[in-house]
Amino acid sequence: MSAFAAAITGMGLITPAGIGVGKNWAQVLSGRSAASTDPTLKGLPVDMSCRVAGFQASDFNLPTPWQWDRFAQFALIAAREALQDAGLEPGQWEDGSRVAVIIGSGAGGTATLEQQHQLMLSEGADDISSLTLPMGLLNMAAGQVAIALGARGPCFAPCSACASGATAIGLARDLLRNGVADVVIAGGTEAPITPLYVSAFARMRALSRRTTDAQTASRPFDATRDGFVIGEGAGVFVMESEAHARKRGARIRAKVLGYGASADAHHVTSPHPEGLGARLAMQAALRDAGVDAGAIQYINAHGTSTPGNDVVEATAIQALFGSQVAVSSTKGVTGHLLGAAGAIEAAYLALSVETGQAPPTANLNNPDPRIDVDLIAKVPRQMDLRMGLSNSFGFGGQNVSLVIGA
Amino acid sequence: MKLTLQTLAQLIHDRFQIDHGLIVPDASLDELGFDSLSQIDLAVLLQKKAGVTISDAKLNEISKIADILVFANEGV
Repeated sequence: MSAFAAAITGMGLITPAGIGVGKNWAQVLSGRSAASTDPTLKGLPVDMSCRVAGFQASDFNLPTPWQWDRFAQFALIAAREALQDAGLEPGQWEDGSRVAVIIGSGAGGTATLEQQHQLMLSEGADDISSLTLPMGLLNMAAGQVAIALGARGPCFAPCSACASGATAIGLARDLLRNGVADVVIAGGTEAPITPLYVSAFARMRALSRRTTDAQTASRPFDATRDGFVIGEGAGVFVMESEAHARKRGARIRAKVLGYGASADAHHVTSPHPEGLGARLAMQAALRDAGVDAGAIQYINAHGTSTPGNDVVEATAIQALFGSQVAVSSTKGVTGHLLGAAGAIEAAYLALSVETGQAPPTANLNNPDPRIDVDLIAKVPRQMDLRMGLSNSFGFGGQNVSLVIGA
Repeated sequence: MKLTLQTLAQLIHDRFQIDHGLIVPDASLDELGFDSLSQIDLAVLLQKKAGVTISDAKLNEISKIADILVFANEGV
């Protein structure tokens, strides 16, 4: 295996499973769902979500706090944790122009945009905030994080809808491989629990309707699944070349070994019926990592709990990796964090590799009989795990797979 | 009606989440973190919640909290 490996030297997570990597990992392994009835969605067709419980932005000492949409707040909080984990001091860079920030999102600052639009309609154009765009634009989490950390290398926000966070990590690896940056702060962030987003997903019949029992609503791969539960949060990695990490004596927690991306070129929301795009992304990631399918022992699936995704994805996995490959979806616990999902799940996969524990799929009681892979349910599985793969698929038929190993 | 420091501090705190204790007459808008965009929002806040209209030209002359109080209470 001669392919390039990008070292993960720091991780930060703020998700419905907890604030901080430690809390996240404990809840993801426990298989306890973070979903609950959401009073802010009262009266809408679906009134449940996966919130970051107990989150108060004022607890986190944000500079000029009124300038941060929630999605940018999450990004900075996760980035700070990742830097601390990596033993790096924000602003204390040897050369700030060699530090890149790549933070993807699907919805950007939609809460800000929705509130200001409402204000414009009710009060008039002169009353909207001058910060509407600096808070609302999708690239602003990356921009704000770069400002807060003094990172002056390449800075942008890839968007591939629900694959955005995984795209960011894949592109970060490319930046390192091409020698464009020494350190990349890479991940995804999302704060989409707004009336417009929830109502629009509900109109598409994409959300679970099991609002009377929110705890079991997100149930990937289950025969009775009926949609996803919307979530919020961020996941951020500090990534470096192995050489750079070794030189400064950093602890390498896991490595991003391969990145593959593809398009279904089929339909805006329905996956290709044979999972063609999913297969192409997984194959490209394996090729990039320079390994055969047999090297992958565990897959953290996209597994949204929608009727459409889960069977098609599992079928594509089975075709490539066989029936014996271990598969789970952590969305049973976290719900679907849209553009952040790919990043937080890459972090869960990195933790799986680091600890030798594959997390279970929460709420998986009756596996869909059309699925023929080794689904992990109820309890985590101890594995001698050297290498795994994480899938992320976005609307638009945009697919990303990451290979992460020890 | 006179705009007191206490009322002004409460308005600014509620909108911008700045600690009451920092909003003192000598505090400059710069120090409090008001960039040029945020100052526009501050002017809208004062107009909506305190009935004080500050033109863009006048806004340029305001550099600290005391300036707002003087301007708001001029002729009162």
